[in-house]
Amino acid sequence: MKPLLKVEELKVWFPIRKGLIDVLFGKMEYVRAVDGVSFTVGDRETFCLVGESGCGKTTTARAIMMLVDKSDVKGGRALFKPHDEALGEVAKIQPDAVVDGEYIDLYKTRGYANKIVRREIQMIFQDPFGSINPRMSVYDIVEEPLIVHGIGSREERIEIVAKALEAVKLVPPEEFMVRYPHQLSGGQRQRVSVARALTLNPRLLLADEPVSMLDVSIRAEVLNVLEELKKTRGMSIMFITHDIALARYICNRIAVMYLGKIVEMADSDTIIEKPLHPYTRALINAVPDVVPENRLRLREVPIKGEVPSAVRIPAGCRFRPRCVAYDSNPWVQEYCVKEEPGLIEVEKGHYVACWIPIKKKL
Amino acid sequence: MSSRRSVKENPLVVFLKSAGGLLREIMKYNMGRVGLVILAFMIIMSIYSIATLPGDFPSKWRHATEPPWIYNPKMAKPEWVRSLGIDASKTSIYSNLRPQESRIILVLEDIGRIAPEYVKALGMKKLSPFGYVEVYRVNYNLDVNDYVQDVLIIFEVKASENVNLSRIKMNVLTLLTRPDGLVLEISEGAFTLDKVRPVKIDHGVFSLQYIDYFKLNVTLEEMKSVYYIAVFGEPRAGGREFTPLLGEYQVTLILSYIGIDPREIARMFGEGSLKVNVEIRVLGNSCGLLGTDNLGRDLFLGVLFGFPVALTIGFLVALATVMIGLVLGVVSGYFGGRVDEVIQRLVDVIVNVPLLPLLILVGVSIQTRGWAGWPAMAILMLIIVIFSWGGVAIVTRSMALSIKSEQYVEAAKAIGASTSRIVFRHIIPQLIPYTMAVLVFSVPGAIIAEAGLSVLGIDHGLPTWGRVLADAQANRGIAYNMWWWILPPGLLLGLFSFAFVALGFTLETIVEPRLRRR
Ligand SMILES: Nc1ncnc2c1ncn2[C@@H]1O[C@H](COP(=O)(O)OP(=O)(O)OP(=O)(O)O)[C@@H](O)[C@H]1O
Ligand code: SF4
Ligand SMILES: [Mg+2]
Repeated sequence: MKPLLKVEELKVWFPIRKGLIDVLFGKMEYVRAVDGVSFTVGDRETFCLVGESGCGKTTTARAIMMLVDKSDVKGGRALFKPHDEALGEVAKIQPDAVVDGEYIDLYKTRGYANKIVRREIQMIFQDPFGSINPRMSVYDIVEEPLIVHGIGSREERIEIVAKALEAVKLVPPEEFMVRYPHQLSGGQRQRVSVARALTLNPRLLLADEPVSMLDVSIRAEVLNVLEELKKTRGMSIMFITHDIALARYICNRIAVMYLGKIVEMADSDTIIEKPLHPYTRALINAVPDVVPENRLRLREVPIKGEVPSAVRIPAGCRFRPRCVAYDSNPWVQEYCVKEEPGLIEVEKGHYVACWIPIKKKL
Repeated sequence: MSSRRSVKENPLVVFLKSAGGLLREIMKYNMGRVGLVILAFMIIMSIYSIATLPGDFPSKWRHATEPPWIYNPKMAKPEWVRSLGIDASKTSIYSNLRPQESRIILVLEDIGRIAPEYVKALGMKKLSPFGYVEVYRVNYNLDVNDYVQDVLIIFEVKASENVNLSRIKMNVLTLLTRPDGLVLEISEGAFTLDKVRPVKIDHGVFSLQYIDYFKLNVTLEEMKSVYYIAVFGEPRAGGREFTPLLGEYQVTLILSYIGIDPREIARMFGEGSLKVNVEIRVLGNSCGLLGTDNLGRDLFLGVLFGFPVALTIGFLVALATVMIGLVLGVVSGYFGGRVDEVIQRLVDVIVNVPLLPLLILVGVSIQTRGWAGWPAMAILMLIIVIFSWGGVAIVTRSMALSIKSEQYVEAAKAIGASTSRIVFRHIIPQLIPYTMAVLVFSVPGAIIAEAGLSVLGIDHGLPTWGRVLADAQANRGIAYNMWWWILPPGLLLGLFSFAFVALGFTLETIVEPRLRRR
């Protein structure tokens, strides 16, 4: 089965506004938010992107959604496999966007072709306060994608919206339809934006921390909703979270991101049980223990220092300033300093970007 | 599921509901209440004005030396000042008069039966002894220490086509019976019915009789300059000075129709094929609700016409200015790049062009072309619109810039919304509250500018508050202490501006909750 989404060496660099002198001498500096990222999302798969704040998860999703400026995409591409009908239409109006007869290069689509692929990829935004228009009613917000894509009669649209609201447990839907965002709690807003993403019945859903604002009971409910939709509608999900425990619970595969790069990627069980990258280990160790007295014990979190700025990325391995494995493995230090490790498949389906497992494997 | 159908309401209902909500919200503030009350007053007056004034009123107003204005007293104070104890004689208009008596005169003595005072005072030397005679009498009470400007008699002839008006001649004779018993012949006239004219007090008619009666030692020439004072006054110091003679006056109007058989004339009057409407006007020094100007124009009507003009022009100019500014500002901010550059340079230009000199220039060239009325006004207002949208555009541009990077705009892009949808559905609605406030604030702007232009001497030919003020200034209304000419339009201008400033502040407080006082 071919993957639904292929991201290849994607780079998103945001230019920093500098003084006049820098501009005159052509010295440009960039926030390298996404710095060469490759991964795939399979059909009906839930793929997780995990990493701490600022590592570039949202930017990756926005890049796939074609929401970043084309000029900020400094390399790589994102290929999407739409259903055959849509592919045919795009092939007709914009043949140059079709790759391998099956995929569409998202950044080459324009105009109507762009609209066709947008209908199949939807995103739940991280911020439930900013991502819905405060002056529109819940009904208008959830209905908007249908209007934009000319779907259904008025009566049908009302039904679709009602179903979408029921699906995210905003019941009774009639009551919520006429409300405005300021009359909703944070969790309810989050669910409105989930409902909006669902009305178009997308093949691929990018969910950017969709449950971070929800309390535990609703969180489970929304996650169940997503799981159910995945099953019934055959949807694939790219799930973004900073919570690796949650990722294990819902994802088929997990990719761990650090400072704009994927450092480890594998099946969720493999990555939790046999983490190979020192950063992944640190993430797993940072998960709070369920046993209360264990929480009070000082646990060893194998990481040091602070996240460096995405503007001045360390040479060699970008994790080196914070790496405890580097300190305890003097033999690997020359590699770590000299060259950045690539994302290498060290076991079947287990990719890692650290010299220790790579060198051990060789 | 009927309730699901109701999630989208009729847009008109939605609009009315939100307008009603806004009104209630405004009513919570004192300033808002005051503004709304004034606005309601302005609207009611505008409706009244449109309903009562004829469409050609501006051109009538411009032709100040034509009827109906010349039939009014000049520089008359408002009527109501009399109840404040100010000495201003009242203006009485007697219209739709029926003759007290009418008679076919075939024998000379007959005249004495219908107008004995005439016979007594003057004999029959001036009246044609043969004809159809009508006598009208009206009473006028001079109750304050003041004179009367004139006694005016206006005729209106209506006849069926087969009546040859040029063959019927009308002799007019007006007698004034004074409280002191003197019956004074004050005016006379003679014309055929196809060429009737108004008749006024004529010093040539009464001077001799007057000098005789009071045995004055003045020349006819001297009488000329004091004629209306003399008619309603008592001479002092041998006719050099006068004091008003208070009391009951009677105007007797004797019309005699001659030229054809008087029985024939009587028949025509009887069957209605000939009608002569007579109106007697005793023009005092007070008249109407707001008095008159130096040419007799009723200032109430002029000021009344100003209401709808102020509202429509104010609103239209403000609306056009704000809409252009809003659209161009949003386009500039949202699209950026070259479009932004072009619009911003345009804004730089229009913001820096001095508007007043430009308006004066355009106004003068309009005047020299002889354009007047609505077209002239439209051109001036167009100039104001063209050079006023810059400020709005600057603000809406920066607002659009910040809204553009809001997440919900990105979310709209993500669902595939078109640019126009994003602009009209997501950006402009956020700017509506601000634009509403600006709109309300800028309503008086155009009218104030117009008033300024008028006072500077640019005449667009429409009776507006500014125009009336400018007339007052040009005709030395201040020097003559004609406060009724200056205060009403001036106060209305101020009230108008105040209403919109008050409403604007209230709206601003409502849409920008941080300004709210608790
Ligand atoms: N439009 C932008 N212009 C400049 N820098 C940006 C922009 N968007 C993101 N960045 C920077 O890129 C980096 C990655 O941001 P991103 O939002 O992708 O992080 P994230 O992984 O989603 O973090 P979080 O978990 O906090 O949401 C950050 O350093 C951020 O400051
Ligand atoms: S490559 Fe070296 S520095 Fe980088 S994570 Fe591995 S051990 Fe640490
Ligand atoms: Mg994020």
